[in-house]
Amino acid sequence: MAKVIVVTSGKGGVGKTTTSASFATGLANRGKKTAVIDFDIGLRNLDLILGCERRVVYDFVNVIQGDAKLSQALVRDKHSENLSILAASQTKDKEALKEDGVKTVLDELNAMGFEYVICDSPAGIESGALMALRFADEALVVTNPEVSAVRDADRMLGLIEAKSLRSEQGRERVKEHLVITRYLPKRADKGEMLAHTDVAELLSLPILGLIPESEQVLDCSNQGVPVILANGSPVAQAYDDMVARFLGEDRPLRFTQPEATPLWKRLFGG
Amino acid sequence: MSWFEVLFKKRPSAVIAKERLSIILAHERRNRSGKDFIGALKEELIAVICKYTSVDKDALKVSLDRRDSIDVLTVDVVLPEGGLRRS
Repeated sequence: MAKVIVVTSGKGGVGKTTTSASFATGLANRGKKTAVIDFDIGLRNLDLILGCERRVVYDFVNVIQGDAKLSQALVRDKHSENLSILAASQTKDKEALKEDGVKTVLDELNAMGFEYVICDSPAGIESGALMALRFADEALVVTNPEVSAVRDADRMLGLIEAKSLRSEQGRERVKEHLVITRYLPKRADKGEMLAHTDVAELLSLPILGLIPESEQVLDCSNQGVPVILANGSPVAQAYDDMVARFLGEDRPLRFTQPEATPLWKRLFGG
Repeated sequence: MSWFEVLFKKRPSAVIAKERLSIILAHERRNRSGKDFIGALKEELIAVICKYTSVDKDALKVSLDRRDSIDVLTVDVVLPEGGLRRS
C-alpha cells in the first residue's frame, strides 16, 4: 500500500512546499517511486519550485472532475525519474476537492505502484488543508522557531488527531514528525531564538529534520530546483539527513551548534 | 556574547518565548478536547427551540463555561411577551 504523507504547518511561509519538494525528490532519488500532490487549490506553487510549470497540462481538479485521466495529469519530474507531480488547479472554487475524489486519486496512485504519496498542504485550516491530511498515514509538521508558527503547528497536530481518517476509524494514529526550518544555531545559542530542543519539547514531537536558514533556498527556487539538490550546501545536507532518517537510517542532528567565532569577535562582540 | 552584554544581561527572549508558548499551548490543548461540538450543538439547539416556539433567534444564547472543575452548559432563552406560542 502506498504510504500517504502530509506536509503541513498551519502557518504560511514556513517552508511546506520547499520541504515537500525536497522530501519527495530525496525519496525518489533513493529509488522510491514517489508522487507529490499540490493541495493548494487556487494558488499553484509546487510546480514552480520543482521547475515543471511549463509542462503542466491537466491538474488535480481536472482529474477529480473527470476531465482528464490521472496518467495524463501526472508530470514526470526532470530531476528524478522516480518522481511525478500532480499540480494544483488554479480554479477559484476551493471546494472542488471532494473527499471521494481525493480518495479515488490516491487509490489510483497506489494501483500505479507508487510507494510514497506526498500531500503538500495549503496554509490555514480550511478545506484544502483538511483534505490534505484526511488520508495521511504520517505527517511532517513544519515550523520555524517563531512563537506563531509553533502555536499553529500545535493547532495542526490537534486537527490531525480530530480530522484524519485514521483517528475517525480508530486505527493506529497518524505518525507525526517535526521539521524545523530557518534555524539559526547562532541566535539559538545566544538565547535570541527558540532552540530546536525547546520546539520539540513544546510540541512533544521527535525532530525528523532540522533545516538551517540558508540563502540557497531562494537561489534554488529562483531556478526551479529543489534545494536538496544544491550539492554540498548545509541545507541540502539537512534535507538529505531528514530523508535518510525517515527511511530508518540513524543520522545524528547536524547544524545544532554555531560555527566557531574568532576570539576577537567574542571579546568585542560581532 | 560580548563582555558588555554579559555585564548587563537581560532575560533571553527565547526563554520568554518558551514560557509564553507552554502556557498558551497547555490552555489551547485543554480547550481542544471535545469542544469542537459546541458550535454544532448551539446551532441545533437554536433550530429546535425556534421550530417549536416563536422565540427570536437572537434571543437565544448558548455557552459552555468552566467553573472550577465543572463544565457548565448554559442555554438562555428570552421569552417573547405573552409567553410561548407555537409559531
